[in-house]
Amino acid sequence: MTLPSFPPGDDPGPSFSTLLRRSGQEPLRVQTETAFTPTHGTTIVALRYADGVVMAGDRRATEGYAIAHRSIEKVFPADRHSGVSIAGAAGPAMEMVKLFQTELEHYEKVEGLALSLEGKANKLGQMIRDNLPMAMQGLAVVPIFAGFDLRRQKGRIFKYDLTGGRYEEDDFHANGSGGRDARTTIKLGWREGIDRAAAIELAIGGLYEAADEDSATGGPDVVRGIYPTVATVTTDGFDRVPEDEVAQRFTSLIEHKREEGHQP
Amino acid sequence: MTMPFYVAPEQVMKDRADYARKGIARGRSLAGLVYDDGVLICAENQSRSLHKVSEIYDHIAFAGVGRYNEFDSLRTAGVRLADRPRYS
Repeated sequence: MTLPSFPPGDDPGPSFSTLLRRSGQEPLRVQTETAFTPTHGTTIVALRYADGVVMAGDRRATEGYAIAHRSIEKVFPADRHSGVSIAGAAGPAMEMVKLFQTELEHYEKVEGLALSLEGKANKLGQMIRDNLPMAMQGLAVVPIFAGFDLRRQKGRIFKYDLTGGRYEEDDFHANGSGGRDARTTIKLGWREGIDRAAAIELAIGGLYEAADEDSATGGPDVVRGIYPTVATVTTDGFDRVPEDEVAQRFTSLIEHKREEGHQP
Repeated sequence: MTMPFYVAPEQVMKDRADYARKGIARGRSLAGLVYDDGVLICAENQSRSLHKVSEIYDHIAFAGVGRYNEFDSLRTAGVRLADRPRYS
């Protein structure tokens, strides 16, 4: 076993992706000649509330018009105070999340301090830009990055384009095939300073409406007991909302819809 | 072709040991001890930016005294060694 050491000009510094490249591994690279239908993850949402941000994602993955998976996870912790949710080609997206998590931890260990929230957002932007050749082959990954900024003491949300462009959203964002419907729903209900309960309700409301309009977005599956993934990021860190609580909120949302006269 | 001077093997070892000892002679103390729930590492450090104790991986820590650049490159190599297989 030899220690990975590099001559001064070739030292990868605190970057884990560069370390992989210097070690002869090319992360996030697949070469395909023939067209195929990859598995796609669909709708994800993020919104800011009084204590931080809420992130949520439905559980469906599709392959063309078929359902590929009913209980895929799309919301992941990136580190203690940030999370990343994914839409797009599921395989490369999962790999990107894994690489991003390792990248943040690697940086923190090598440098002795964590990147700022903006630094982390930039890092993810670079990774999406590196993925552009794959995106041109149909394996696009478009995540949402959100976290609690310890310096500004508030939640912040970043969205991306395929070229790695990073744009900060002030209040909320939704992405994926049902993103437009989810975004509109959240837009109508979002208020400055809403509390955790209202924020979670709004997020699942957005996903519910997206599932109602978009075939690739999965709604609450009461038969199998599969509900969207919801997480909060606050000053205390990334925290998954328990599935029981999500199920309960969906039940009351559906009851509320019935009371209003919507047919199930 | 030039021949290196003959140096007795004992002398080579002694020189190396002296070199290492000199490197840490002026370093501040560092203690590591095992207790019921794990290990404890304690070090004197006057610098806010140069860290003597740090993390290599989830359950592996590193601490060093001596020439900072030397133990820091060893530490960085350790972090790289531990993180690389996690991804691949």
